[in-house]
Amino acid sequence: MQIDTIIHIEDWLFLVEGAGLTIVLCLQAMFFGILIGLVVGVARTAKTRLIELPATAYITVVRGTPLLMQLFIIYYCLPLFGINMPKFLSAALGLSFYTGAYVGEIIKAGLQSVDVGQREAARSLGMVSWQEFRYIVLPQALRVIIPPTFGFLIALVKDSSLVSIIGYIELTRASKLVVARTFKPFTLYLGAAVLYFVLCYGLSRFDVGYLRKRFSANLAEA
Amino acid sequence: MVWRCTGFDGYAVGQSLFWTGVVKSDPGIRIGARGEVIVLGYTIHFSEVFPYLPLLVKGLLLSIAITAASTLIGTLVGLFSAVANLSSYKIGRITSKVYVEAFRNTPLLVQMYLIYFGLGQFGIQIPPIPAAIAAMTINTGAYTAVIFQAGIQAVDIGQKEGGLVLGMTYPQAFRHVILPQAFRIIFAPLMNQAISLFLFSAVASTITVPELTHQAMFVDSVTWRTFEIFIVTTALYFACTFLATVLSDLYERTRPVK
Repeated sequence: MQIDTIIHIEDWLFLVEGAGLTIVLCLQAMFFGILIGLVVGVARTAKTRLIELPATAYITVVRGTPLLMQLFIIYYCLPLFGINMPKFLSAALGLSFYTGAYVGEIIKAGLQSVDVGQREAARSLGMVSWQEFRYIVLPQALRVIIPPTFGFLIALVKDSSLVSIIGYIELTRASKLVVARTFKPFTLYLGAAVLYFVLCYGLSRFDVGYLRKRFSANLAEA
Repeated sequence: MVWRCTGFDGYAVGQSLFWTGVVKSDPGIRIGARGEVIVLGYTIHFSEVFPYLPLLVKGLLLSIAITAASTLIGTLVGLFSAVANLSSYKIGRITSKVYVEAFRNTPLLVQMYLIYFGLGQFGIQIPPIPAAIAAMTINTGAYTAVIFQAGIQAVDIGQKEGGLVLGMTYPQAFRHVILPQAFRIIFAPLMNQAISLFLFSAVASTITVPELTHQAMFVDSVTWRTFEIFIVTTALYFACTFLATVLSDLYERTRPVK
């Protein structure tokens, strides 16, 4: 049998499709990660030890262990306990928990950056707890939170390449599959690297151009 | 021939919504006849992992070794790159910028594949460990370059001028006045970068470097105690990063930034 080792245009399209799946995966991980991060970040600032301690433990453990191991535990170990998930869900779940820990820490830092006098002023104006959080703390904290969160999103696009190891077909896995047929690893991995570069560099340009101006400049004025 | 990516289609989305067979036959946690712990029908046997602990520790030592080697060389690469970027030579600035942007915006995994598998396309074959160290070095070098640049710029310009006024040449002022102060400022970010690199050294298992993750997968294939082995491995990784964080904090506290 003759093996077709030429890289066709379809192969490059397959890589682009993989890049699309990387984006979908990252968006989902970011969405659920921010939800987890919000809960954990607020819990981190709680005065009750019973709430603060589990949140701190979660953040410390996830930030202190390799993402690859977290993905392995979710993908290989949960089925042992009868919890079966498709690859996409394992990948999304693993990345979400990972994102949640990092974003949680960013949110905690953001909330703590708001001067305590602001909270006291809100209270003395007669605001209740949720009003204080919604109208006083959150808008100021967001300016501190958004730039590093965006930075983490860029890192997440790169880190998401690890889900290829558990077999989910995104950009890295897609290039690996084409390499298996064409035996041209340098060309294809370079192609994958260029696609990652376009994604990450594009995101970082957007970051500098828009978000910094929108959120950090206001803070400098204040 | 058009290849389709499986995974993101109607079937996968449907599967995502309904986990199949969440609980098998044995719900909850119970203690078996011989005192073993059974969670959701899976009997946990940490004892089967213990004979392989020396192998895991051997893997861990290699993980630490490749991280240490890459961090050391990578820090030098980063320093040179930062100096080149801050220099008045256009060619140095451009080279440094291209290097930093190219390697900060692509995944370490793909960089490793490019060096280990990719160079094979041109007949260049590098053994796994040097390939892993090379990939990790150029990767961490790009991140370290940015850290160094920020640190050097954070040192007050008066310090440099002071050094020059005292009769030092620019390299002397840089070496004896600016760098020590910059290093103290960037110690924490450098440490974080080293810890992060250690965590991502797990990726080297994919190019058959026998480090901790690779050994864990080997032990898993021998014992089939997947859960126990990955928990022990994760604990080993965590112990190292936790220790490194504590030591780094301790150093920070004993030598505050002046």
